[in-house]
Amino acid sequence: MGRVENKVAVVTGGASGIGRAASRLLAREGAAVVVADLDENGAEVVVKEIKADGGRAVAQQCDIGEEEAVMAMIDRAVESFGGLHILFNNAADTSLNAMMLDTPIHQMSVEWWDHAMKIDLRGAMLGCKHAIPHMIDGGGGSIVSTASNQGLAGDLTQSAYSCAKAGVVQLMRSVATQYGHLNIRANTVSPGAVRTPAFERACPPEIVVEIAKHSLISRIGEPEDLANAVLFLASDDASYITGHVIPVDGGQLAHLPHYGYMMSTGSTTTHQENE
Amino acid sequence: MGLLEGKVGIVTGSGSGIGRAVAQRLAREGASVIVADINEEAARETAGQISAAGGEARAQWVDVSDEAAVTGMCQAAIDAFGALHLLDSNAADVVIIQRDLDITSMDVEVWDRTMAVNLRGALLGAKHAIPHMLAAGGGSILNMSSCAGQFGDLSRVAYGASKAGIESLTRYIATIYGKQGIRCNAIAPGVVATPALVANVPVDELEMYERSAVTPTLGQPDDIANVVAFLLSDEARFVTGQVLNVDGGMRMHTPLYGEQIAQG
Repeated sequence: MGRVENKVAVVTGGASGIGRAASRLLAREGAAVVVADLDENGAEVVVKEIKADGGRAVAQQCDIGEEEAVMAMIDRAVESFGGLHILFNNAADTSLNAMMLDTPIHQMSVEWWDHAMKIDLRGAMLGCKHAIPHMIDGGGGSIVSTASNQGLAGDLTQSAYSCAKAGVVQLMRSVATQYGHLNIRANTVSPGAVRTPAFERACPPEIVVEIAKHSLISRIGEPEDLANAVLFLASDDASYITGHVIPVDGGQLAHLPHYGYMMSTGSTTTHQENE
Repeated sequence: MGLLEGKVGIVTGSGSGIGRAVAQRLAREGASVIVADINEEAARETAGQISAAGGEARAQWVDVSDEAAVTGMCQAAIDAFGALHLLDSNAADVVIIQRDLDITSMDVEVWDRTMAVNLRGALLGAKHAIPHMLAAGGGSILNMSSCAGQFGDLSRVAYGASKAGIESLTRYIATIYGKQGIRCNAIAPGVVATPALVANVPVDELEMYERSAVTPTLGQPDDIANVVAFLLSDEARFVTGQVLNVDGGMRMHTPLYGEQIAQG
């Protein structure tokens, strides 16, 4: 008996990285999965992988920037599998172009800002908007969204992406508050650095080494690390957890910033005086 | 007219560093100050500086882990100035902290002494100051936390746990006595370049701390004192139960920031 047996799930951005890992894990634990992505071929590949594992899934092309497309994605779940219980809002524009355009604020292109908000934040809102009525009909549901540690802490770049991700955290609190009495839960997972195709496109190996210095468990994350947390939050094991953020980040934001320096210089004590 | 005109305040650990800067600032804002420290000579020096600058201050010996000494400290405010309105619980044991390393090597005495001074000391201060504040119609308490109480580090386990406890104590004081006119807040300083810090820390380590702050330089004791004065004053009358980080933004950014700055 799987942990999400007989549930129907929609995963946006399901063709690669965290979305792919979550789609496969949810399917392995008994859910029927709509693997939605802008990249239809990529979604088809994931569906094939799920079916090869003996799971149930359909691929759905979806640009979450378009409300019609989001509605069609949700309808696809209900038509294919008879309901909708789990929504994983995971899609974001993580293309290399997106990373390059997301500059410090004084250089920010307003068009780029609007695009990031449209995909990274408004897309999650649209998913909730159209999934929630089906969840209410089905007696409840669980929504999980992917935020980012960049939405919880300041950084030198990714200004628009990070603001959208902070908005996602608040969106989940709003959904949790408004629909909790209808047995719908909403939570956020916050990744730090995760070895996804998008991450590998954007981060040269020498940067990865620097990032790993701030992981308390000496490695960067794998998509499966996030998928495990998504499965947990989607499942009834988490039935009393709602409105919260679970950082799945190797402790990237749990320590003081001199940690990386101390670890690389081999020192385990620091001189610090606060009083 | 100062922010704290007519108020009477106690600052523990005000023989040096941040506490001394706070005592001086409170006095400049018009408060009469009990300069309390375990080092009585240092307390007298701070009080002397305040008096020389035209302020009102009395030095008072206190070991904040000793309840009788804490009641004596509070009584000293009443005896000297007739009332008590403000308390800055700033004292921490800065000697024991040198032995406060990791968990498996933790000498339980280090843990107990750290808790006795840093956390229990703040409790005792509040316990014995609050009745006087209630008698005066209200008051304001400021507890000193630390970024080390909010995030993990490779050493100073007991210190960090005591400071996290202080943040909880702050919320409890604010909750229980708020309706009776007592506010309680905490400040979490980051790395403050006290003379002792600059003298004892290797230059490359200091530079590393500077890179972690998003401000051009590390903090000075006055940077903390400015915020203490605000939070203790009536200008902050709707602020209570909060922890304000006064840390140059050292932990609001992702941890890679310092390395990225170093690499330009």
